[in-house]
Amino acid sequence: MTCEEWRVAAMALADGEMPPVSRAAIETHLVTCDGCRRVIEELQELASTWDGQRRPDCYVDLWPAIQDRLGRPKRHWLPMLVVLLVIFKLADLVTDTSLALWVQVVPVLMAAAAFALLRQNPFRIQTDLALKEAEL
Amino acid sequence: MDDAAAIRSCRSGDANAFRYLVERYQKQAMAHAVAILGNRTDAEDALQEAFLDAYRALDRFDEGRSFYSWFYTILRNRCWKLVGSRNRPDRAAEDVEILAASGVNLDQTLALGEALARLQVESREILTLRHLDGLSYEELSVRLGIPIGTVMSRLFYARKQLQATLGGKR
Repeated sequence: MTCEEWRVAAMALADGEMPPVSRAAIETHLVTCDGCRRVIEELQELASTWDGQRRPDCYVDLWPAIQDRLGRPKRHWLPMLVVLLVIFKLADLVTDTSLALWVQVVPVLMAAAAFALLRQNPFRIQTDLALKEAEL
Repeated sequence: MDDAAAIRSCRSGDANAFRYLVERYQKQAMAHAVAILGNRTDAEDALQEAFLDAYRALDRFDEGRSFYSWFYTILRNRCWKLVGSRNRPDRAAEDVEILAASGVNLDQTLALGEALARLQVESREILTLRHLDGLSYEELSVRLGIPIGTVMSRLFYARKQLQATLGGKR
């Protein structure tokens, strides 16, 4: 084993873990190797600088944003657009002009109604979320 | 409610039950994400995406495991994606708290926090998990998805790196 391997094993032992070599073998090496003993002493001293340290309390409230994204309906606008285009194209093929007009007008009216409904924010989407985050 | 009940409710389609898990773990997870990414903005982004990933993957969650341990893997993946997509090598040196003192020398906390911010992401992660969360080598092995032998050597070299960084500052 190289000195570096002895040092890795010795630190594992110091951490209360089971290194791949026996405690006795490590202790014997440390008695005979000044370099390794010094490194281990220094690293153990370094470990003491962690005493009393903890992770900071990170205030965060992610639920509103996550709830918004979980409840967000999937965007079906692209297939809807395709369907509308197909309807318009089919309307060209309809010989009865009054029916063709209805087929063209109804989707436009429905789109306008949907737009008006969405302006009421029926899904209670929190549009002020970005502002709150900026204030934090 | 406990984790298992919340997960079962989520699986049966009650998205609001996920609130319990988010609110229970968000602070802890945020501290971990900050320790990996070194800045709060990225950490919040990663955390939000990780919670959404977890929600979508709940069907695959093994109830024999701890939720947070499973979630940490997802969070870690999200964090590493962000690390990989950064234009700059590391933004960890930003003014962000990785440590908080509790009745100890404030100068020591600041010096250690600053040194940690200058370490490689992997070193910072393993050191904080070991020393702040007190994870054993076996727990680190599971959490980080690496063999115990690698935990042993990675921790050793992370400590050497920290020692060199702290020494350079003195």
